[in-house]
Amino acid sequence: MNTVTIQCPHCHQGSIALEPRLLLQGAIFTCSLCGSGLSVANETSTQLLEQSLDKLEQIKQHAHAKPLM
Amino acid sequence: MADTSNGPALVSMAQQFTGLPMGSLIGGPLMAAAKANQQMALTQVDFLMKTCFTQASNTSGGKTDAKVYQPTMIEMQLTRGVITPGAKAGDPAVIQNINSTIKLPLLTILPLNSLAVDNVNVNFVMQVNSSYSEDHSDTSSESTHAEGSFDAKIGGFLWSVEVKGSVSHDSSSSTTNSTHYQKSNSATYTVDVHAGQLPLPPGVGVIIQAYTNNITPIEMPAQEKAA
Repeated sequence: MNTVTIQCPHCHQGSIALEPRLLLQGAIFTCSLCGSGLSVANETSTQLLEQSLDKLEQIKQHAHAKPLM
Repeated sequence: MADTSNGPALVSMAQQFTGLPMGSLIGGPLMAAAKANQQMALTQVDFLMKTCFTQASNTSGGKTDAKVYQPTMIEMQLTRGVITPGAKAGDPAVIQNINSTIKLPLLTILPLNSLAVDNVNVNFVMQVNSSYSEDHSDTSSESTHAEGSFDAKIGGFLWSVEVKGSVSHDSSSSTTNSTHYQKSNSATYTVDVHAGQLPLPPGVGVIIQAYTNNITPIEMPAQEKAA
């Protein structure tokens, strides 16, 4: 699980722990303090986030698979 | 211990280890790890600059500077509950969900970690064996068996002379000499490399934190009316 924690955009005091892959599936993540929910707004942003995650995953896979010499 | 003054000389241990390219054996994997780290860092920087930022042209004073990067934003929906008091006195308060659309830097959402070689183990074991042994054994056995007999007989009128003699001699000798000389080299060279995720560099963390701290919701009037 690659969880990312950001500051709550609403209360600026709590934090919201996001799982990017679940965001793509429409999950809503809530602030631990004020309860505000955060999700991806539209399909364009979903596609952009998905492409970025896939590219990042490719880099990580490539780094682990690449021989040293 | 075997006397090697006349036998072959034992292998010189110092000479065996002198010719080893220890610089390449130890420094090679370390240099390769450093090179791999550099390549991975460049790959990640390239990913950050191309994916999380968009290059925009900044025209100032009639000159166009293309080296301006703006963060790629994705639109997120922020839902928060607002307690609205009842229209009339005594009516229960109503909790309404108000949706706002905010733009979030993509950099703050991606699970970034620095990929790097964090552990390199170089093991080199070399074993040089040299042994010399000489066994010399002489086995000599000699047996002499002599047997003599003499029988003389002298006769008279009719002469009869009889002489008998017998001599026997046995001798045996054996010598065994064995020399054993053995030398062997064996070497084991093991390089163990592990790549893992390291914490982000402080500079990248500062940038992400700055973006995170400046996330401000943008009210959408149409959704406000609908709510």
